[in-house]
Amino acid sequence: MKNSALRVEEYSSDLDVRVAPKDAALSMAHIYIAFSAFLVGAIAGLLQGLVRGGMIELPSWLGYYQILTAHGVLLALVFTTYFIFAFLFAGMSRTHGAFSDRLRKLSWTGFIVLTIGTLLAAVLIILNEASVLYTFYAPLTAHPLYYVGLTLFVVGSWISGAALLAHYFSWKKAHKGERTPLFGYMTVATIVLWIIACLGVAVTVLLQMIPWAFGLTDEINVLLSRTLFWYFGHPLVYFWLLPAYIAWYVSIPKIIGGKLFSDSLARMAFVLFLLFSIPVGFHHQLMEAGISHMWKFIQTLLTFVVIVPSLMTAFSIFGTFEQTGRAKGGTGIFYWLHKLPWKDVRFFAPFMGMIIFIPAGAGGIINASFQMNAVIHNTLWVVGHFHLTVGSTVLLTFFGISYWLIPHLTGRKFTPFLNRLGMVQTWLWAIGMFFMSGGMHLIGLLGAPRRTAYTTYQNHPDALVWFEGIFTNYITIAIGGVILFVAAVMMFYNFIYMTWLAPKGDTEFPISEPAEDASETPKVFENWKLWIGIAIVLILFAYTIPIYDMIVNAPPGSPTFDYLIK
Amino acid sequence: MHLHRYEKIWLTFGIGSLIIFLTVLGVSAFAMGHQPPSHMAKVDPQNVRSEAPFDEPGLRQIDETTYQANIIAMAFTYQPNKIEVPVGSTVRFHVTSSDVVHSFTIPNTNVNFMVTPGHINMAEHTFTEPGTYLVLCNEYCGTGHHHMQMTIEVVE
Amino acid sequence: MSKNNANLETNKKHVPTETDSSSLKGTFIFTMSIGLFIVLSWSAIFFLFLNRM
Ligand code: HEM
Ligand SMILES: [Cu+2]
Ligand SMILES: [Cu+2]
Repeated sequence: MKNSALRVEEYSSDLDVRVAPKDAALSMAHIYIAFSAFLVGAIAGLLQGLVRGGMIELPSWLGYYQILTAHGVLLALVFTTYFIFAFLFAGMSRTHGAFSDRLRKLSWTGFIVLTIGTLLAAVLIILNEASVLYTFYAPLTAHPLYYVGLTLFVVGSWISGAALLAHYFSWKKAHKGERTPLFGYMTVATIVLWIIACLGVAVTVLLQMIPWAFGLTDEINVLLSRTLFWYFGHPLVYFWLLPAYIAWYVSIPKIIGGKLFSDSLARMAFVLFLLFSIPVGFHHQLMEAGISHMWKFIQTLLTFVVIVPSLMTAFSIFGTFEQTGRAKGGTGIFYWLHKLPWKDVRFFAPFMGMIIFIPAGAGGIINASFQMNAVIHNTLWVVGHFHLTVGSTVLLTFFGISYWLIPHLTGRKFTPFLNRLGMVQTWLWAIGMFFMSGGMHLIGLLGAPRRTAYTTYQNHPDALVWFEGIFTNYITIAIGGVILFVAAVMMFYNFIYMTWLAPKGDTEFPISEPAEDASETPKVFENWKLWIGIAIVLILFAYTIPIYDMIVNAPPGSPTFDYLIK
Repeated sequence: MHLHRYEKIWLTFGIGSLIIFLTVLGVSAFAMGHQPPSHMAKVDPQNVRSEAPFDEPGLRQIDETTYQANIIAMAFTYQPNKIEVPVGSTVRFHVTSSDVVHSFTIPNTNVNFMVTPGHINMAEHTFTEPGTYLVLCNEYCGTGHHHMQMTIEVVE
Repeated sequence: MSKNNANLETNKKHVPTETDSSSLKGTFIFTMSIGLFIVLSWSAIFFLFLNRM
């Protein structure tokens, strides 16, 4: 009784802590673009599933690899990046106070540059001048302006990131000696990770691809370019994952009416991500020539280290659930689970994401396992894998965030109707993903390639198997894709509803109070110079010698190949 | 910083498993030779046919049961497009690309490696069952990527 | 047996973090099952790899 009375009070006082209106407008601008990209990307996904199953044929003016490029760019790059900045801007405003006018202007500049880059890339994809997929591996060549678009995208994200960092450090300056709020701490780790990671892609795009695509240089060093890309490509996936983890660590405990289990462990997990998620890119290049076994193995080892903070997260988050369930009177080994708010989509959608992260993470360990990578490399298994990681764990968490973030920003109510829609949406997404991703994993083990339009390889028996299995069948994947598409349209409607239709009112932006042990968190965690220094040392260790070798012992380079994509 | 006793056990178990995985992989790779394909040889990607072995792509017998297959991957086929070996043969595939990045992949085997221009990549496989093996490209290489394939006849 | 159990009980009282309201037994079982799942799926693919050699 006493407890619940306390909570109501807390809740109402928290309602007063709002994202400042001007910051809310900035955050919403990102949300509009994120969900528009999401809808178009989902349409492309649906078509891909149906085409690969041989169920439809695309009209002659639309190429399979064109929509696949659009799908990857819109969902994996545009939706994620815009949503992440929407979440981080709003969260920083909520936890560190309103942005100063100067910093807000900087953030808008970032938004505009990001958006010009996005539009430029989108136009070139629509014109079929950039069907090089979202990884744009050389020496396939897109229209030179496509690379300019990508550059603007990265520069825009850096400007926005700089605004977030500046906001955090000015708070820190004004609160000398205090422990920084967990949201800000995690935001800084995420943004620093992003900035260091992007250096790789910036170098290959600016120094290699743009001069080469514009015809200023004749040749490109393909292996170097791939290596710089994957130096960026792996931390990219942590750039998607860490904001989801922020919601798990900072918002979910509040939603379930509890407190985070440990502040120092949470910070330590983020430091480990910052340190170990960059010097590991070779785990995407295990099957290629020109990189020695030894360096591949060293980066495999570092990859295994970056699994540890996720093991810690599993314990912290489930521990938070258990302590909350018990504090509410739950008992037994698992009976306390009944005390969790299963009917609240703000909890349930991210929770589903967490459960899906179990097979996703197990798959990731398999993928990174050195020579074993040959079993799954570039098969549909990989596509099944990242539809679990980013396509489900991250996305379901982002959906879960949307249910309070958007109404909070638009000054509307999170209604029971919306909650019901959200619950159905979550289930549909999970079920669709079970069929699509499950099918992809298994059919991938049977050798079905990723990034490949409908083909039976001249009716070769090994390929026909992919159309004949009971579950291991392209049709399973297509069915899953249809269910997912329905769920995606529902989510888009939820976005519309929360933005324009829901009744006016207040929705809380949930931020958990500090964990019990927060006062004991070692000061060293706030020492960013130290962590960035160690991260750089690890990167130099893992990359200097192999990259030196790639440059000094490079074979003659490759010319452009733009005619192959049209 | 305080770690709960259960968390210590969990992390010990988790990290212990990772160490075992790495040890198994390391021993299998470095002591037993099951390395991932990481050949270091290079070629000029714009003149692959001007030097051995790709001046004469195809199969070469090395000893009684061992062959070397020198293959050029290109948009959207392989050269040669078909090879034939007796059952029980071990084939060493040496593959390079004359244009963009491809792969050389035989479904249901561990032969699945990238073919990057400028490099020769390599893998070995022993064919113990007769049949027509499919080779496909699983790295996007352009509009005709899904047509890129060849076959290996393994005959009695 | 019963004596042992009684011993365990008294032992438990010495560990303040193990009171019922803050027990993490469920978390422990949950995470260890994740571990088991990881080991099993990894082993399955490793044997597939060996099989395809
Ligand atoms: C409506 C739901 C979705 C469906 C039906 C769907 C379907 C597909 C299919 C069938 C492919 C494989 C195409 C191929 O390899 O030939 C694919 C690739 C991909 N999907 Fe999705 N997907 C969906 C949602 C998502 C989401 C939410 C994300 C990420 C946020 C995502 C990210 C990707 C990426 C990065 C690729 C790889 C693109 C490439 O290989 O270049 N998808 N999707
Ligand atoms: Cu990775
Ligand atoms: Cu190809």
